[in-house]
Amino acid sequence: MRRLPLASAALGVLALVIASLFIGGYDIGPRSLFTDPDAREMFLISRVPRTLALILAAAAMAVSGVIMQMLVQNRFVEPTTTGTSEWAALGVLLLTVLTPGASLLVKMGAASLFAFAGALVFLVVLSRIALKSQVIVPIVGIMLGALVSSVTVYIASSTQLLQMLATWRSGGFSSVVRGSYEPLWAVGAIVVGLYVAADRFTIAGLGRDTAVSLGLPYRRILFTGLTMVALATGVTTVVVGFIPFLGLIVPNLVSMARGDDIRRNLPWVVLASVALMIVCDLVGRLVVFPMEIPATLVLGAVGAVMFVAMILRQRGKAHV
Amino acid sequence: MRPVRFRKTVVATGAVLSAGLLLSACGESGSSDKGASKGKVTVTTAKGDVEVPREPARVVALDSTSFATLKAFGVKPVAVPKGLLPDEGFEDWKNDSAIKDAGIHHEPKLEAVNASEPDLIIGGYRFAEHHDKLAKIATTIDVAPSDEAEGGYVNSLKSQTETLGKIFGKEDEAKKIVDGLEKAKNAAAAATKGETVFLGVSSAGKIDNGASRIGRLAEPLNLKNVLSAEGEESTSVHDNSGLAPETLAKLNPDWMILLDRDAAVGTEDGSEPVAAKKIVNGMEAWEKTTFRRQDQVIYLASDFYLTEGAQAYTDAFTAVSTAFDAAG
Repeated sequence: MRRLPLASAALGVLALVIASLFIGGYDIGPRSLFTDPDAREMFLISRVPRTLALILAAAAMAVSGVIMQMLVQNRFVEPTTTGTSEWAALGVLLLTVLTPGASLLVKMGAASLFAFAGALVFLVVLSRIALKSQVIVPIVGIMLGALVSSVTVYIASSTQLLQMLATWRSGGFSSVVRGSYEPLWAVGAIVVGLYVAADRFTIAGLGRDTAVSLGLPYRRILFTGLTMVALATGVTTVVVGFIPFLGLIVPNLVSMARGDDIRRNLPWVVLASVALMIVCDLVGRLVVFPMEIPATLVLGAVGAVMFVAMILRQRGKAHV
Repeated sequence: MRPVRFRKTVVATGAVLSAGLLLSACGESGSSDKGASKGKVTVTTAKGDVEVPREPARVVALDSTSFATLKAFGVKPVAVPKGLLPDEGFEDWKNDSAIKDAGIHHEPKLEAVNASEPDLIIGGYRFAEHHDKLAKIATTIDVAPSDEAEGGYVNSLKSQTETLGKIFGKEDEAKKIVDGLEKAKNAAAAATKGETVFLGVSSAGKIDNGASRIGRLAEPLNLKNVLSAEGEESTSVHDNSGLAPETLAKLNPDWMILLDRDAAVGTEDGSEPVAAKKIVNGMEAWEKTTFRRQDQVIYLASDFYLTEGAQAYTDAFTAVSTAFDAAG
């Protein structure tokens, strides 16, 4: 009985996945898959990779949000509200300036490395600030992000890369084809990794002192968590650009409904973020057909509204 | 590699020498009067008629579409936005410390412009929004080409060239440039026979709709933009929106004209638009399209997005007519 809601949610997401597979610029229908070799070819070149990229990127960002929220013990953090994504962007830009011909894998390495450094900087700054309110934490993160971003924009503008930076950051999924999305499988592994280590993160989320007294190697958990977030952020940033707010909205909505048990929440978090990501992408694909609005833009608009709504809700509570 | 560099050096040295000769020639006749005795000339600009000094000695050139024309006239500016100079052909301006850097349009160095004591500032285009501030320093004209101008962008390239010719007393040279552009345009219009085309811009490893940037190029030509079915307006509005490769495969244009914004990033010397070529040839989804199968892709010069002047359009039209004639 208890598994029933999850199963029906999975069916709903499956319906969205199917919609994503059969909507697009090239005419592909369930029937033409069997009759038209060209359509079948295009299905494999374009539709399947795009849908897989949507699923993997959404899961990666949502999971990154969950990890960060546990480690920082704050509901408002995720890679785009802690400056982590901005650091990844700086990493890629510097690499583009220094060695323009660098391979995708090297770019991802640089992005992940910078994301890791950025997450550390965030934690260090946070530990030196007397926090009076939960809301201060994402504000510190967004400020740090803006600082890093201004450095990035300065470098881009003095090297004629401003347009490249803008195109790349607003990325989206329109250009995803076979051969360009595969690195995202690595972040799929991170999702599995989190599921395995979920209980530890739940305990780490109770705070350092509690975690240590329960016999948890807190530092190691922190390090593992940051590495996972940095990898997920670095890879998704390079492949599809910034994915704003996803890691913030979804885990929070799930926690509101179900409490804070990561292991039991994780399937819901992943399903819900995949659903949201696909819906945003479908909206982007359909409103200006045959051209597209990046899914990340649609998500940014939805996410910003929900972010503000969540902060206002939080203010109503006594402890803020 | 060596012969190329050698050739470049010769060209650069030659250009410096000739610029120097011209400057000294100017200096002889104009040193005593600082342009005043040459009188004034009234020209039509985007902001109405403006009276400017005839054959000004100290010119600040900000509108990048005018650089090549000024160079052809033998004008050596006292300040230019060095960050907007194309990589090739303007080394003498870039490396000359006597020419001040006017900054780029995001961050103009107005003090440098002021310190260069100009008689005339050629503003407009990227610097259009700084017009009022520039006008306080010296007479500032905006004769930059514009889509809104009568007859469209390409036509306004002609009036820009003619106006500059009038100011610098180089009417003959101006006519030569305008005739060249006209001839190349007509040849391109004659070579195109209603084929479908996709106008693209490649940036950050992606190819998007570039109608708002290079649609002007196709305007005088006999081509049909595959994305213009719902009206010209809508294609350029969603310029940076993105376009899935499969959509382009479905639209299957006969030709593709591509502005490579990645060119400067992808290669060390930036001379060949390699980056875009890599994307086009590597795109699996396009294997069955006409433009790929018949190799009908025109790559604009890698510095086209910086130049966009009469000479750049002449070259682009020539590239179009050459490619279409070759395809038959």
